[in-house]
This record gives sequence, C-alpha cells and structure tokens, in this order.
Amino acid sequence: MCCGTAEDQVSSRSDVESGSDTDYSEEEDEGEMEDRMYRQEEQGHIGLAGNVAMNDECTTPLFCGSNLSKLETTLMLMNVFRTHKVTNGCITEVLHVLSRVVLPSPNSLPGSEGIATRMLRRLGLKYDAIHVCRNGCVLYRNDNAELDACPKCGASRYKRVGQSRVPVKVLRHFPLIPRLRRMFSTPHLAQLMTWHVDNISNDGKMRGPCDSPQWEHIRTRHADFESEGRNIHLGLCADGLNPHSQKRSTHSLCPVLLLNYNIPPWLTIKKFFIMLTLLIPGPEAVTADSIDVYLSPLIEELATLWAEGVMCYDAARWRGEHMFTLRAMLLWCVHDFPAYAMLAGTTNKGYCACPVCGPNTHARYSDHLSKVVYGGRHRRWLPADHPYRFDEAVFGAVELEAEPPAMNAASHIRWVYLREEYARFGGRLGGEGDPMLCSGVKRLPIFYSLPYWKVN
Amino acid sequence: MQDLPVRHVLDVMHVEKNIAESVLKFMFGEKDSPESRRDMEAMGLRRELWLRPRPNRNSFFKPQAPYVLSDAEKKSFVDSVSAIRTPTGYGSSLGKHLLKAKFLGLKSHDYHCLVQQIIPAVIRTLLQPLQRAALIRLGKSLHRICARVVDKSEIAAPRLYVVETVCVLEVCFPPAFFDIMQHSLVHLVDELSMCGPVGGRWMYPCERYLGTLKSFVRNKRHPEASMANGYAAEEALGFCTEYLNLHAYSQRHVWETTEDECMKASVVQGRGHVFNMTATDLQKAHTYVVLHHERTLQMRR
Repeated sequence: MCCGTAEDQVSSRSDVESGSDTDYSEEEDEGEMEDRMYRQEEQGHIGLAGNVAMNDECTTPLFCGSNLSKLETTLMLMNVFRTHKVTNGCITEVLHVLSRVVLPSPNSLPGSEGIATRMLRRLGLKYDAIHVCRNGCVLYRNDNAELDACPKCGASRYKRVGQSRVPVKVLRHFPLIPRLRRMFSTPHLAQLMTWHVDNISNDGKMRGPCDSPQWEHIRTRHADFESEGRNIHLGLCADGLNPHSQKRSTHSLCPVLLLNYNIPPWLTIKKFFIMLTLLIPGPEAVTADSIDVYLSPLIEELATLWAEGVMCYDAARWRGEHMFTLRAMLLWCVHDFPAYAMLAGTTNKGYCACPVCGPNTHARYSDHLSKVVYGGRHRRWLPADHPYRFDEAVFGAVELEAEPPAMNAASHIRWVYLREEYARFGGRLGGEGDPMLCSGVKRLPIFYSLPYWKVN
Repeated sequence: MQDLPVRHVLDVMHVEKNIAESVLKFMFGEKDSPESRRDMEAMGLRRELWLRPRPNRNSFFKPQAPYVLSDAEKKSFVDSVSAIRTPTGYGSSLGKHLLKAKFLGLKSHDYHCLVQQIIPAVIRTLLQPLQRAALIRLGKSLHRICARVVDKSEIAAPRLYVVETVCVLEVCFPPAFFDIMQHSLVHLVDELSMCGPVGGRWMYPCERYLGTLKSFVRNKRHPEASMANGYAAEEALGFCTEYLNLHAYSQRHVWETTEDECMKASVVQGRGHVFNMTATDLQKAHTYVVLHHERTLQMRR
C-alpha cells in the first residue's frame, strides 16, 4: 500500500511541476506518429493508436524461450487483480514472488504494482495538464500560455513552494479525438460504432436513443452527417464529486464524462465505454461563471469534430473503406438539477426555477413556509376537454389556460440579449429590474458556440 | 430558426429520489409542520386540516392529516417493509435502513425501489383511499417514465397518465409538497417521448463511474492527479486487453457478450424465457396452488 502511495505522490508532483506528464516521453511530432500508426495497422502489426511503447513491450518475451510476451502476462495478471479488487500491497507481493521465485531468473515481469501501473500508463493515451487561474477566469494556454498572473483578476498562476513554481490549479483534459480514433483501431470495437445504423427499430417502438424523435430530427436536418454511419453521437454528463469519503470535507471536483450513443444501448452505460474528458479541479466547487472556461478545450474539440472532422483509420472497414473523415456531435447533456442550471445558463431557484417552463413557471412564495412552491396549476398540461379541468368541487376553479410553451434555444438567446441590453444601459445584475427574475435565463452557455446547438 | 428539440435532459434518477424522499417525509409526518397547515389556511384550502386553537389554552390542535400515517399505521408500514424478502440483486435490504421507524442512509436506488414498487404494495391497507390511490399512481407513473421500451404510436397515454397523477397529487398533498421536482414529472414524460427510453440518459451509470474515479484516489493531497493517472492506467489496461484479445483468458470482461441476449424484444417486454420445469418444481407449484386455493383456505378456517 505504502509503495503505491509513494509512487503516486512522485508522479503527481512531477506532473504538477512540469505542466505536462513527464511519464510520456514520446517526442515524435503528431503527423509522423499518425503515419506510423496507419502503416502499422496496414501491415497488421501491433500498435495501439500510434503507441510506440506498446511495440517494444510486445516484442519483449517474458523470459528467454517463453511464448508469452511481457505485455500479455502483465495485462492478464493486472486484469485478475483489478477484477477482484486486490490491494496494491498484495499485487506487489504476488509480482515479487512470481518474478523472483517462480519464473526463470532473467525475466521481464514488473517487480511491483507501481512499475506495472506506470508501464500501463505509458501504453495509454496522454492527457493535458492545463494550468488554470485560481478563480477560474482563464486557462493558461494559447495566448495566455506564458503569463504568470491572471489577466482578469491578477491572481498569481503559481504558488511558491521552496524554489520550484507549483501551479495553483490544474485542469486535466483527456483529448477526445485520439480516444475516438483508438475505438476504431480495434476491429470488434470499431464494428460496434456502426451498430445504430442497422438496428433502428422497425415496429414503431423505441428501444434506444437511435429510435428517438431527437435522432430522427438530426437524420433529416443533417443528412450529410448521418450518411456516414461511423460519425459519433455523444452525451455529456457532469456532476460534482467529493474525492474524500468524509462527508465534512468540502473538496469538490467536477468530472465531465462523455457517453457514446452509437454503440448498443446496453453497452453505452458500461464503464469501459464511458469516457472521462475533463477533470475540473477543486477544492472549491465549480461555479456558473467559470464552467465555460473549463469546458472550452472540450468544446473546441467538438467544434473541430463537427465542422471539418478528422481523418481516422477504421479497422472494421465499414462498407469497405479504411480511411474516413470522422465527425461527432453532442446529442444532449445529462445533469442533476444544480449542474443543469450551471451548464444551461439558467437559474434553479426562485419564481422561474423550472428551466423548461422558463417565464411561464407557476410559482408562489409562501410566507408561512418561507419558500417558493410550484403546485396548483398542473391541469394546464391536460387535454382541453379533460374532465379534471372542469371539476370545481375537487380541483378548484375551472382551468381554461392551455399548456405553456417550453423554452427553446431561440427564446433563450432573446432573453440573454435582453439581459445584456439591460446591463449595458446601467441596470444592476441581480437587482430588481433584472430580466433574469422574470425569465430564469442568466447567460448563454458555451454550448451555443456549437453550430448545431441553436440553428439546426 | 429551429434547434435541437432537447438540449439538456432532466435527470430521472435525482428527480425520482427527491420525490420519494419527500413522499416518505410527508408520510412519516416530518414535513407536516404547523407552518404547512397555516399555509393551507392562507390559501383557503381544506378547512378540516387547519390548526384549531384549544379553548382556554395557549396552544393549537393539529388534526390528523390524511397523508400522514397514524402511529399504528406507521408500525404496520415499518413492519411490512422490513419483512419484505426480495430476489437476489433486486436492491438493498431496506429493513437494515430502518432505525426506530425512520429510514436512514438510503441510496438513490433504494428510493427507486421504494417509490415504484414497495410503497404501492405496502400502503394498500393504509392511509385514506384517495391518498393511497395517488401514491400508487405515482409509483406507476415513475414506472412508465422508466420504461425500457416506448411505443411511439401510444406516447400520449403515459403523458396523460402522468399529468393526471400530478393533478391528483395536488389535491391529496398540501402545497408544501410541491417543489420543483414534483413539477418536473410533467417534463420527464415529454423527454421520454423525445429522447426514447431513459436507460442511457440518467445518472446511474455516471454516478457509478464517479465511485470508480474515487477509488483511484491514493494520495489525498493530490486527488485530481491520482484520479487522472489511475484513469489513464485503467483505460490503457482495458484497451490493450481488447486489442490483444486477451479478455477471453481472464474473468474480467470489458463487457459481456452474453448481454446481447438480454436486449431481445421478448425479454425486454417481459414475455420471459421458456424453460422446462423439473419434477420438484412442479410438485412445489402444485402444493402452492392447492394450499392457497379459496376452498382450501375456507376449509382450513
């Protein structure tokens, strides 16, 4: 156990100091690596998404004369350990016994859990550690990469620990594009990505997202996107998480997960297919003001994936093609109620708490309960001739009003525009005249920069 | 200008949990406060439930509300819930969460089971008929929202059912019951018709995933870094195993190929499997039927 802790400490410290993971020593430039990957794939060689390290591990035999490679053995052992939730201390001891006692003397089996885990990590894809302003104002990348203090709030980028410069906050971004490409590099995984094309239900029953009217809407609106069956439909899911198991700890992280709706619906929810794309750091919970900043690396990738797409190798050769342009879109976002308000740019309390009804939410402040209650007017959603609407004895006065219209992107944009105008002419945001109070709309979330989000 | 019909979906899991929580609190009288009665008085609703001043004393009499379990009913409710035996894998044993006629430390999935199946089954002899009907309808509505197969041509039926239920709940429970979650029911059923079955768009898989992320934390000083590195290693392990086709040799499956069977229409729609009964099973079934037949019961009395 202690071994694992020490390893992690070392690696996390080094990653914080250098700004990117020092474990990944691949110095090749992107284009060359991609070429190499495709070459390997064509020749049927082993190479996972351009991973050079994997080749070396694969060709090293476990011991002289063994049929098994170092990589295969380690993977099989680690799989067993992870399945049965073996502790790190136990893994280290088993590996120690195997490599020192059981196997012939010069062998290549990793001697401890730490070495094995680091080997695995080297095989995987790398992630970017992006420095962030303490208050979540900016990401230190692109134009801001060289700055030492936040251009907006002036807070320092680093904290002083001895001689070294340690960044105050680090956002971890797991690039999406290489991860999607990797899905296509294994034949039986690549096959799954076109499952939705052949499995639309034909008996008028919805069994998964691909049968839904929302998906049909995209099919009619974006025929060019849908004509390539390998193009990916994603769902975004964000939630707060307390990494320590103590309730009183207020440390709050916000992982952003992506669900893949191309694959069969019963696989969408499997751990293996859920992708972590952003790890928004704590310890303070992320706020509505900073969430857009944190999401920007992901949205940039999604914009690229929508507009021009990226070249991708398909190991399953759907309809006979090897290379194709991979595109992706966000189908919808899933959140709990607090995260909903944050990501949709609305409020989740007060008189317009319902993000779907918006300004038409029926709400009443009760002095006795000292809270807003939302009941009393639900007969509006019934058909116009429903008997409940006219039953005065049970339900009270006759309800003639029709069902209120739901908020859509266009009205959201209009309300945001109105609020901006109000602020420009000297209105105080949060004051009594704020249009937010009668619409529930606060701001335009970053998703609106995706072309399909508003005009479709 | 047209847009994506649904951009953000409300999460069924959290809505269901919050509703169930508040139903239980009302049934056990925790939320049936004097303030909620005064609020009814201010709104002019249900005169029989208003607080009545006691003569010659500086206090009030709070009439028993039809949505609150009486002490005897509470005992019966708690006894029935703790006596429930469920099949393996159905959910946690709820009896363990009961402490002095109070539920403690329930998980979201426990609320899911409670509100959809256990409460409707247990309250069949409790509460007033109207309240009982409303809670049974609530369970059925949520069950319909969580349907695994949705018929496109009959999508209006669950919608009408859910909206009617919300209207009935308005009559049966005080206004204090209605926070934004109860209102969300109306929108959940709309999202069901727009986005299809709820399976892939609720938070259960994501919440489970967060548990996995949490287990990567080894160094409490740097939880984010531990998570990132742990995730990277786990991801590599999964994909390399898949790439080299090693999953056949280990217990750990990245996913189960046999699960394809589970999605066959016959299973999803509850038509079940065909199987041959053994002689013992048949014997047991016979005995059960004979012992529970009306005539036999009469004779045993």
